Amino acid sequence: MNRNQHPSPTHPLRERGSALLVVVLVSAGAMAATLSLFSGRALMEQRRAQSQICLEQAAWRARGEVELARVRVAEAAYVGGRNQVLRDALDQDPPLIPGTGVVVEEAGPPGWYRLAHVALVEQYPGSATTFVREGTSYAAYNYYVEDHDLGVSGEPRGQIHTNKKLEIYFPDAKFDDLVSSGGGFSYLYGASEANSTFQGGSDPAAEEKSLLDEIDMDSLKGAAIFVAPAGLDADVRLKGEDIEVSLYEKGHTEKLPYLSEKNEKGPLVYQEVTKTKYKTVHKQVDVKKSKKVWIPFTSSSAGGGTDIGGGSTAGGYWKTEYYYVKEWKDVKEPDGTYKVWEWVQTYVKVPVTKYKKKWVPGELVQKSTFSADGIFYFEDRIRSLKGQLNGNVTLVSDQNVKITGTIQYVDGNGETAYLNGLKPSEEYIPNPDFERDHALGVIAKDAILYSKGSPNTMEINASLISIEDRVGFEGIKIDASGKAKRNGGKKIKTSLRRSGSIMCAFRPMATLLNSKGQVETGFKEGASVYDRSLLANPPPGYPTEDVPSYLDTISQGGQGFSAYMSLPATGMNNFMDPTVLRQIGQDNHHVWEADADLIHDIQEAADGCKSCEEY
Amino acid sequence: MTLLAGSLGAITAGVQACQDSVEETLRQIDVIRTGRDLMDRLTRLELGNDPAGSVTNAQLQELLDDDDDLGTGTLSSMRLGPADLGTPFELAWFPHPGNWTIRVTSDLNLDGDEADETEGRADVLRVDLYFDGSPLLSTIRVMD
Repeated sequence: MNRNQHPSPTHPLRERGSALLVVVLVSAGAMAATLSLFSGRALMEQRRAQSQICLEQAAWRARGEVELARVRVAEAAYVGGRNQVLRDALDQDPPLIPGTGVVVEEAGPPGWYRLAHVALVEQYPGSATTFVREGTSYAAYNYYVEDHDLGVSGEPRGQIHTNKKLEIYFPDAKFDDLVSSGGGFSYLYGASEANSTFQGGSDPAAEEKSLLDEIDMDSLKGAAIFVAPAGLDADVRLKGEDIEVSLYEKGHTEKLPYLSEKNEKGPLVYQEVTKTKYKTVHKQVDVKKSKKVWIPFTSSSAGGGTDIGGGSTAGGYWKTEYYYVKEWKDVKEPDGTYKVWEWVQTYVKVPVTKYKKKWVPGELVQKSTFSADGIFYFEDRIRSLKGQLNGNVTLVSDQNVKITGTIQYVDGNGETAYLNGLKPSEEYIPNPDFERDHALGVIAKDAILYSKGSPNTMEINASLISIEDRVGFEGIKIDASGKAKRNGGKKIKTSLRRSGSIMCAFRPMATLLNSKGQVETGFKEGASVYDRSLLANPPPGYPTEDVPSYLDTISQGGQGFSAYMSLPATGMNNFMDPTVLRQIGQDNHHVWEADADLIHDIQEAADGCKSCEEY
Repeated sequence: MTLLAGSLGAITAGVQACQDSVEETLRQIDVIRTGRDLMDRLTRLELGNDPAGSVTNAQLQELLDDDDDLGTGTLSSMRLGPADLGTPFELAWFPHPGNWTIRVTSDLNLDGDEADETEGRADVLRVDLYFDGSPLLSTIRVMD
């Protein structure tokens, strides 16, 4: 072929070049398509990352706004027990907490409100919600004492306050909520600031409180579904969904005569009498000696986790130990007998009338059964209280109350609120199978006592308030200065496990120690558990403190829940209908039912492992 | 061949750009997740009553290390004035280079002063988290 000639169109070289071009174009096209797919996916992931960032930012901003609203509510004045910021906000439309974009609405049981806010970041919403109770129920305190010191040991949970001094017994005390006192803290029996843990904060110089003065007995009486008249003692039996009230006339003591004998001197008689002769013998005998030994206190000493008192501030005690040594002594031993005549005094028995006291119990006047729901008011004392409760009850006495046996919450399936309440060797923990809707409050003007005759092992599920006296063991007496001593003979019982709260004027004490750190009288072991459910569902008519209480704030990316779904574009456009919170099949006309479930779930979530930790 | 070379070059550049975008996306995801974890720790930390600026390096170490123990520091001890830039730090376990900054102030609206309503208080604090100088997350903490 001539070099100057071009290949023809059908020349093999031209055909090969065309094929190559096609291959290149197809390959390039395929790679471009793959690249487009890849870059499209990368762009989508980038947008998703960006949305995550915006949602997260919005959630934290919303949380901050709700926190600001909490400050407004916390600092508000109270009029007639009503928080004025909440009241004012609820009167507005939309009901916003002043100075914030947080909406407030009723939610859950009476006195509960939901604070909710939605923030927007580049049109992505983040929400935050918290539940606030207008007043803090008195049941929020595990221990509250006004006029005396308070002694605690172990790991009592819930808020603790005394206007006087708080005594912490034994090492490794653990407190999970605020602990406050007006008179400082003192550490006894090995306890110290270093080995005591205050997880919820502590204030040893707190302001004095007078919550007991605020309890309105007339109001409680007016709201009661049953009022027992004065002059009659009551026996109250908790029988599941019922309460049995038996009213008795007051008993009295009678002096009953009985015939007995006594010895009186008779005539002198001259008679022969046998006497013993003795001789002195020098011999080795056992002689008793004593020595003092120092015994330091250990954490295994008495008192596991309850209200406690007595003992000393020393780190141990001197114990007397006895031993015997052999020593040479002059000892008188018998050496025969001899007879002698002498005048002997005789005695004669004569009949005599003596008297003994006999308790005559009062007669039964009335026995009634009521549904376990509401306030029961007793003008006189409740001399016996025990049983199992499946309801919501407040018992009020204008005198004193004596607990004579175990008081437990039980549900419809027979499950108790706590496991091992009567097994002190096992852990005292909430029962996961227990269906909760229970509350028992006992309010007495005078003392609430654990009877000396109560079982050795006892459990009490209740919130106990003594307005002018104390809550404690009947076998312990507390004088006006708060000093404790035994009341009658020693009564040492095995275990008292209590869930609920105690508020009283005088020092509560279930265990009294002697100067050796041993149990003098009362319960050897104990556990006190704060019942958090009483915060959300206190006993009927229970007094409240003019302080708001909250569940933890929950924030998340995405929409929040509020009935105010169509608020102006201030970040409130993205609420969802809270009725969607209801389970399928439930009745739709009670919004509070859904919120009550939510409160329960939120409370459990906020409570977290606190419910399943070891006590 | 020219066309092929050009196509390959363009595709290579495109792939590189996509790869860079993916890495940047992963980095942003790590940043926001770590930021969420840090903010969660700061909201769980006790507010306390410590003097402003008294937090020690050891307390920061306890707070920011890779375990759930928040240590003994408090949020109040990390508080600074409205003009301060915050407390910078690096996280040894964070897989990307960059500086973090925590800024705790009483300047709730970031207008440079603590004179507005609810500002200037030790029981209401604003918490800002920055990464490489850019604001990442912010919230407000109040005393319980």
